[in-house]
Amino acid sequence: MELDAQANADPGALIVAVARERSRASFAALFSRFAPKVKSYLIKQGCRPEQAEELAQETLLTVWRKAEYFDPSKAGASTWIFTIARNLRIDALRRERRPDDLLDDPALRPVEAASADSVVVAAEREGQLRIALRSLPEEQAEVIRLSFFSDKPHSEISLQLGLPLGTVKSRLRLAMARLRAALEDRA
Amino acid sequence: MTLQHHPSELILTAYASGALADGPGLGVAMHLEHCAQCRAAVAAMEAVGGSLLDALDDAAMDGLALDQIMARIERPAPATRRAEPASDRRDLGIDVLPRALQGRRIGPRRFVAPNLWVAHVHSNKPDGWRTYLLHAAPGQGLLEHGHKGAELTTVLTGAFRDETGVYCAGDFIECDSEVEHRPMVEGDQACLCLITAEGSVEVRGLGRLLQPYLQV
Repeated sequence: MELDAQANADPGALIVAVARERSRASFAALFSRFAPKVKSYLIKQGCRPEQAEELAQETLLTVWRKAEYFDPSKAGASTWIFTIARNLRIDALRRERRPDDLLDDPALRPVEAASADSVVVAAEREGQLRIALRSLPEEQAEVIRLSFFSDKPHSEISLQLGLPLGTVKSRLRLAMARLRAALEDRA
Repeated sequence: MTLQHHPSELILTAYASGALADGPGLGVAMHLEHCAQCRAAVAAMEAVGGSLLDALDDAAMDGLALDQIMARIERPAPATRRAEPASDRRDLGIDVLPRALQGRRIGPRRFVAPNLWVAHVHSNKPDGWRTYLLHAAPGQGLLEHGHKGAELTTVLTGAFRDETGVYCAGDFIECDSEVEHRPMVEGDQACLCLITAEGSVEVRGLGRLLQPYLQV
């Protein structure tokens, strides 16, 4: 069945299919894969479940409408979707920028034609990043997870972990150095 | 010119993850407009966010969500309203506002000395930070002051100097509550900064008389 094949497809390729062919099947596969993760992220960031549901829908609707702004040579699909969800949440909190101002969103700027090469390189980079994330010492991984998936400032994270702020800072610094090395192929 | 003063890794991570409060986020966004190095750092952190998103457990969507979204994508996107032209704020001393400030409500200038004014930058969500623009003419000393909480400064134009160094356009300076300083405009150009402060500012000496004006 077509949907099964889509479900296993590379999400970046699905977004490109949405951009080029307005492929509904590709979009449905993206929605099924990412909407529940975006909802989960938003709940961790402190959204109420019904607001998280609504913003997850809006995030994927933005993916449909702005798919042509996705640049697979710069960021992976999940990175692009992460930034859209993050920015929609900030806007929902602020309500000062109107939704139209999304046009100003750096994640949604016109894409310059990318070579197939650079797309492959970008996908490899993110693959290395995932491996590096999995191989972080647990104490560093925990600080990274809490930094991204709680809306608490680092001072509260340090209280929660029962660690001095300096320790949280140095674990974060060590972890980011390893992750960046993986992204930049210095691993 | 390469910038010397950057947001800390903690602040950049909070910015990339979406956890940073509104006022500090504005200062970081303005620094990023100047700084390719920090833009690259934030892009790397966003990639980390993407990988973490991918690894999250699913939170089940409503049973009808897929049907609803498939119906919504068939409807035309709402017509894009052109952003209204930015109100003329040449009184702020810059021709083009940084992107991050465009569309923000900025209050009127309030002079706290003949060559020194502040203007409140509104945040719709109270976040415990006071954010304002501060403009000082060449040769002007800023008020000697200490902090109860953190203070973040992003230089927009010109430069200033204090006991710790010289800070130029694009620089991002983080002071904690330990710091007391007496900043002074450097060079012959006026200095415009965005300042975000947590808690109140404590002015020393004669400047104490001006204290009420600083609670913008």
